[in-house]
Order: sequence, then C-alpha cells, then structure tokens
Amino acid sequence: MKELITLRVNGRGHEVRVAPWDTLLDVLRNELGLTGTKEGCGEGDCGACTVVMDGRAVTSCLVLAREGQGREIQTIEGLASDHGLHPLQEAFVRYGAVQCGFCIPGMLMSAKALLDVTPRPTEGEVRAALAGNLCRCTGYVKIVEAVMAAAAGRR
Amino acid sequence: MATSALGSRSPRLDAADKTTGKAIFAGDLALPGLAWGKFLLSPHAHARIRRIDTTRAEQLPGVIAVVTHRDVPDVLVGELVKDIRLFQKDKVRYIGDIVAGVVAEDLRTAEEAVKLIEVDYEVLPAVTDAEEAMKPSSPLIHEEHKSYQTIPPLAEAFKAVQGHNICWHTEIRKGDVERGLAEADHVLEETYTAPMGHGAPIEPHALVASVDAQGKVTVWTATQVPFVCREQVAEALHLPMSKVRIIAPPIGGGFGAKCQAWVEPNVAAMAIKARRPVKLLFTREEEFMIGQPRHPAKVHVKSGVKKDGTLVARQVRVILDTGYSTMLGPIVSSLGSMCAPGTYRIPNLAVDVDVVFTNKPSCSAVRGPAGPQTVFAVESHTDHLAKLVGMDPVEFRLKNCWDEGDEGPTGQILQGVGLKEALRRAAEKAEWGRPLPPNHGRGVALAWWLTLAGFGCAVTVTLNEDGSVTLQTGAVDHGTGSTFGGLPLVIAEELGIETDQISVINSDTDTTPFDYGGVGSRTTFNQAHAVRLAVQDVKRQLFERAGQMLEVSPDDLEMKGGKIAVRGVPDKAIPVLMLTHLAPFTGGPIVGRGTFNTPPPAFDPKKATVKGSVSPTFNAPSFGAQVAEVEVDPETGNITVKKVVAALDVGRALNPLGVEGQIHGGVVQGIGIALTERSEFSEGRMVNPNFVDFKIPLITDIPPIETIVVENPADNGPYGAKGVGEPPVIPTAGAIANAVCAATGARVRDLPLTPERVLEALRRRG
Repeated sequence: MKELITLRVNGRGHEVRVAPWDTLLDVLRNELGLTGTKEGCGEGDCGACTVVMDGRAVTSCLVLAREGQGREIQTIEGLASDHGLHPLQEAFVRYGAVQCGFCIPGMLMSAKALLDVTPRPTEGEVRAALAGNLCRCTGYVKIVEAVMAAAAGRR
Repeated sequence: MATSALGSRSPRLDAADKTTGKAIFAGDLALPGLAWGKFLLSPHAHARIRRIDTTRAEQLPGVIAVVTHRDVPDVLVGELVKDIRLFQKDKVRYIGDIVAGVVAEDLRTAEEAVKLIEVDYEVLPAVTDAEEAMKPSSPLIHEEHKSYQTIPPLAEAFKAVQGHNICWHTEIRKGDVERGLAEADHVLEETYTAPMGHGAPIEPHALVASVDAQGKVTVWTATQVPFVCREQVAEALHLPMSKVRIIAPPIGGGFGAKCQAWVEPNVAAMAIKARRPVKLLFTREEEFMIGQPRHPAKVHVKSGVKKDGTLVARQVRVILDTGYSTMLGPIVSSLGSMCAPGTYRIPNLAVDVDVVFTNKPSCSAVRGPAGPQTVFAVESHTDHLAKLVGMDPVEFRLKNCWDEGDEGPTGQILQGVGLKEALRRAAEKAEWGRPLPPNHGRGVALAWWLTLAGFGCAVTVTLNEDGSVTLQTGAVDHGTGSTFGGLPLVIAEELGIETDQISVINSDTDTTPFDYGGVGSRTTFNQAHAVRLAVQDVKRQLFERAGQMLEVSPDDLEMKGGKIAVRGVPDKAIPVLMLTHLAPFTGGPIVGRGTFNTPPPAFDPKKATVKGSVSPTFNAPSFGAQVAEVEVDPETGNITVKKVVAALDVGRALNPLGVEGQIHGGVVQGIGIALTERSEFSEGRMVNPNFVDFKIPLITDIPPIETIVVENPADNGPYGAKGVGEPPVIPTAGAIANAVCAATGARVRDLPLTPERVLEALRRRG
C-alpha cells in the first residue's frame, strides 16, 4: 500500500515510502528525522507543527505526505544558514521569547512566512500571522517583540 | 562582568537549541528497535472489572506485548497516599483509568490492538460531584481506603480521613472566629466556584522506556520530577533505585500537569515485557482528559468587618474535587488553606479545606495549586467588603493588607513583605481612580505564594582544564528558565567568567545529583544556593593549590582578573588558567560540590491551631498585586481585557528577562482561567478535550501587560531571591472579576466569566 514519493525539504530531495494516510508531519519526524517540527495536537489547532510549503505556513499534521510532492517545504532545521542564525532566531534568543521551546519552531516558521511576504509588518499583522500558534509559557509578549525587532533589523 | 552577571538581561543558554529545532524532547527520541505503546483506557467512570481477555490483541500481527495488572507487582503506589494501581485489576474509577498497555511495531497497530482487548465491566453508579461524594450515602470510590498506606509525616492526618470520600482535610484556627463575627459591624457571606482547568502544556505527556540486558530500566520522560519518578518506578516494579534511570529531556511545558510521578512505571513495565524500547505519546485528547488537571473548587467565605473598614474575622470553607486519586491533594489543600484567607491582618480566622474523591481524572498541583480558585473568591469578596463600608478597593486593601512583621494566617511573622509597594505601584501604573468610559472598569487583586522549602538538592561545578565550567544539576528545564537562564548567572557572578564558557548538564538521575523537582517555585531558590556553594568549593580548592605554590595561607589570597593573588600584593599571583591546566597532574580535577536544603519557617502552635497541613508556613513568600482594566459589552456580555498591570515582589530578580517572561506567561494563563478555560464534564466524561473547545488565550487575545518587579529581599533567599514561577498566575482572575464588577455593577461568582454568566449577572443586577 506504501508508495514511493519525493519530498523536497529545505532545498534537498528525499525519497520516502509513505502510506496514503501518513501526514507530512509523520514523515518529517519519523522518516526524515526532522524532529524540530513538533506535534502538540494532531488536529491543526496548536500550530506546533507549522512548516512553510511553497511560501505559505501550513500545519503539517493536516497535510498528507503525498500532497507535499512537487512542493518546496521548509522546516525549522532549514531556517538557519551557513552564516548563522536567521534574524528571527537571533531575536527570539535575545528578547527572551523562548521558554519551554515546544511551540517555537512552529512560531518561527509562521513568522518567517509573514516576513518573507511582508518584511515590515505592523504589530497587528504579526499577531494575525501567529494567531494559529499556541504558546502556553510566554504570554506571547516577548514573541511579538522579537518578531518586530527582527523585522526592523534590530539586534 | 564579575559583579554584573546577576541582574543582567541574559538569554537562556538553551535558547539557540530551541530556536533551531536541535533541542531533543522526549517524543523526538529514536532508539534502535523502537516500538510504540498505547494504553487501553476505561470507558466507564466507575465499574467493576470482571474479566480482561487480551488474546485477540496478542494475536494481531505486529503486536509485541500486551501488559495488564497480571504483569506487574500487585502493589499500590503514590507519592503521598498509596492509592494508585498501574494497570487496573478489579475496578476502574474514572473515564481514562489505565487498564492495559499494548506494545506494537508501529502506532497504528498498537491502536488497533487496544480495540481488540476485551474487558467485561459491571458498571457501578458514578459520583462525579464533590458535594454528592461527601454525603454519607454516597458510594465509596475506594472501598479499601482504610487499608491504604501513607508516608510517615502524614500518618496522623491520614488516619482521621481514612474510609471516606473526603480523602484529606486541612484546617486553621486562629483567635475566635464566632466572637469576631459577632463583634463585626457588617458580616458578608458568599459562595464562589471555579471549574476543573488544565495546565495544557503544548507538549502532551511523552515517554520512551528501555531496558538493558542487566534489567536496568531507563525512562526518558517529560516530567518535572525525575527523582520522584525514579522512586516510584523502583517501588512499583520492585527494582532497586540503582536499576532505574530517569532522564527528563527538555520539557515542552509543565505547569504542574507533569509534576508527579504517574505513568512512568507503566511504560517501563511495557518495555520490560516487550524487551524492546517503547515510545508512548499522549494524544491531545488524552492529555486533556486524564493529564493531571487543576482542581475544581467551591469556596464559601464569610467575613466580619468594622464600620471603619477593619477586618475582624473570616471563615472560609473550600471543597476541592481531586478525582479518583489523592495524588498531591494534601499539598494542594495545605496551600489552599494559606491562600483562601487572603493577604490581610485577620485576628480571628477559621479555614477548612476538604479534598474529595470523585469518579473523575485525578487533579494535580497545577501552577499555583488552589491559588487562582481561592484568590478569585476571596478577592471578589474583598471588593464587596470595601463597598459595604464605602471604601475604595485599593484603600480598603492598603488598610488591611500585610506589612513587614505582620502575622500570616497561621501566625507566621512575615518578612520581606513588598505587598503594599506592589499594590501602590500597580495602582499608580494602571492610573487607578482616573475616570473611564461607560462599561469600562478596573479591578485589583492581591496574592501571596510560597517558595517551596524542605526538599534538598546538590550540584557539582567542574572547572575544566581550560577554565570553562560544567554544571551538573538534577534540576529540570520545563521552560521557566531557572536552570538555563538563572544558574549560569550565579556561576558567572561568583567565578567572574562569561556565560558562554558554561555548559549545563541536567535532570538525569544517574549523572546528576538529586533535586526534588521543578515544583513549588523552588528551583532557582534552592539550586542557586547550591550552585553558589559549589563555586565557593571550587574557589577554596583553587586557593589551596595557589597557596601551596605561592607558599602563603589560602586565607591571604583573593581572586581578581583571572588571577589568584596575595591580598595587597598583586604581583604575587598565579593565573587561574595555570591552576586549571595543571589540575589533572597536581591535586586532580577541580570539582566543587554544593548541597542545599532549608526547612520552612517554624510554625508556632501558640499562634494558631493547624491540622492536616504540610505547609503551615510559607517559606520566602512572594507578594503580588495585579490591576486589570476591562470593557464589558452590555449587549453580549463579552469581556475585553484592555490592560493588565502585574507587580510582583520577587525578592531579587536574578535575570529580569526571565522574571518578566514568567509574569507575562502567568498573567495570560490567568486571563484564560478568568474568561474561557473550563474542562466540561458530562457523566464523568470530559466533553471538550481539544484546543478549540478548551480555549486557551491566543496571541490575538492578549492585552498589553505591564510588569513591575518589586525587590524586597528574602532573608534566606539566594541573593535575596524568592520563587517566581507560580505567583503571577494567581491574582489575575480575581482582578478581572473585580474589573467586570466595577464596569457593570454585576458580580459573577463562577469561573470562567462567560458572556452568558455576565448577562445573567447583569439581569440580576437589574
């Protein structure tokens, strides 16, 4: 019943055998070992599994692995570059936006999808873009600060 | 650097791992031969088990093992009262009680196999309401309660409740409450309720268990208490503690939902029978349904006040519905007894807290256990008392609330009391008294909380050959920042090095020393003491070695600018780096050890009578004041929180970035408790076990939150610090409820403050 498909993740192609019901999240975590993407609910409610697919933030628990074929998928593991942390990552570290860290990969991918399209968002746009990402530790205050700082190029 | 590390806004050391996906949580682990586990949970709230047949499940291809009570020792376990069976044998006591565990090659097979286990139940009448359960006519949830065991310190109090559904009782008596009420000019009596809630960490419970050929069990688990888990696994499976290793990787949020040993022995037993490593992940539904929620509470409060606003007497009765197991009920009860009277001088006080079994999931010590519920009640009540005597709520509180040297509810002499400062500064920042538009209002609430003491810890600080430092600590990291954001600053401060030279190895029962756990806002308080002592030990060793080389007494040396020099003779010095490089070839590696424990303040039985309390005093208490501003839509009853100002006396902020983060997070959880969060039950079944129906605040829901860090040092705190983790969540719901009343004149006495309830209160108001 399993089918061989090719997924393009963080700029590299991967051949994986997937069942029809396997989610993109399952395959990223269990087949490709990309465990930075988290599962908090499996129902698309918490946003911990957010990845960027063809430039849009999606909850990978609601995307079937097969639907990922032919798409450009970016996960938290691909956010930093050879030059170091992405400005969003740097800002999250510096502004104390990280506590337990479980929601952070999804939060960062939603923020990245926003900044790629809207490099200088308003605070309202940041909140709207992150409205699907639950955080239970930080109260969101420093997360908003960090995204705004990254957008403004503040270090 | 040396004098400025403490108090600096320093990023936590694990932040880069957590922003790059490199932090490995329990659910991320993969081991060779990994199999998947799944529990069979009871579908009935109360039933007798007649028969369990696992044959069909075992025959399903891909199933490796099915574990039931027959596979584990016939014992009851529990941290305080031993009333938990790993896999149920004769009876199930709530929807979700664990009956069996399946281990299979993959998760889908495990899920299929669970459905093939045949259990013959005889359904019994269920008791899901605490007040029903308290009636003598109610069926007993634990028929054999009289034979249950407890730990020695609780023996006497446990004896008093054995054989009832009321499984714990705490009381405080101070002065003469009847006389006090009789002498009051006004007496006010009210009842408030708070529902079951949930810490709702974004990471559900996650465990991986593995067994080696010698029978040694290792469990990686998202727990706040690895050392307690070790004890419980050893006890439940009849293993010596040396054959149990618990590793708590980074934890995706705890908030008390992971603060007691629970399913670790179950998953260990599954790995033992399967002879394979087993991964078991809770679904979100399981997490909500059974994952250690917050106690529902009913609070009756009656107070007497003089015409001039002086509080003279208070009587409080609290009922906590603890579900099917005692678990941490005695602790929650004790803490509730200290919070329920409020933060006021009350000469005549009577407090009673009952903890009651029901056929519901077992509640735990969720962030500030019993705090938000009781403080919502007493602070709402306090506003009514102020109104009765015609005083402003802030003025009334300033008149009655504690000052330095006042007596707490049990007569404890309070020290480091920043309460009035917190209140004044919060009120000022919130522009208390400045007129607001119609349907807007401000509300205030006060609270105090303990820094848990009496549970020790030890750490080692190793000074490596190159002068960098490795800290080994049993302390967990569940996000609060103590371990990775606070402790490195202590080392940096004491040793004069940069934090990027420090590495932290933590929460592994085999490789790090004992720590009681990330509970009771205790980690920084206890660990920072231990770390400071360990660094002093390192310095002592350095001074001894330098003294030998310089041929002077170690007492004549000082450490400055990376050198150890003779005091007053800066030229006569040895670089620290020389000592560290030489260490393996001279006196051996430099490993400092620090161990710390402190008893809570002594209770004076002449001041009050206290029964059934494990916490008759509060160690190094923190004091908080919050002001909320709301707008209420009179048409819909909808509440919009416009602003929260949160002032907290933390003693000393070792890392202000972390302290602010704790306050922000606490306030937002408090907003959830106030407005939306409620585990809803129908006949013992939680009907909203998901993030859509159990609504926690989103980033779009939160108002501006202003933090005020008050620093009134605790005498026994490390550098004066007090606990910070739990206190910020406690006053928020009370402040919001008071703001709603100020905006509309309508009082809602039940949490959460839903639009329906607000409209109902508006109708009652007329």
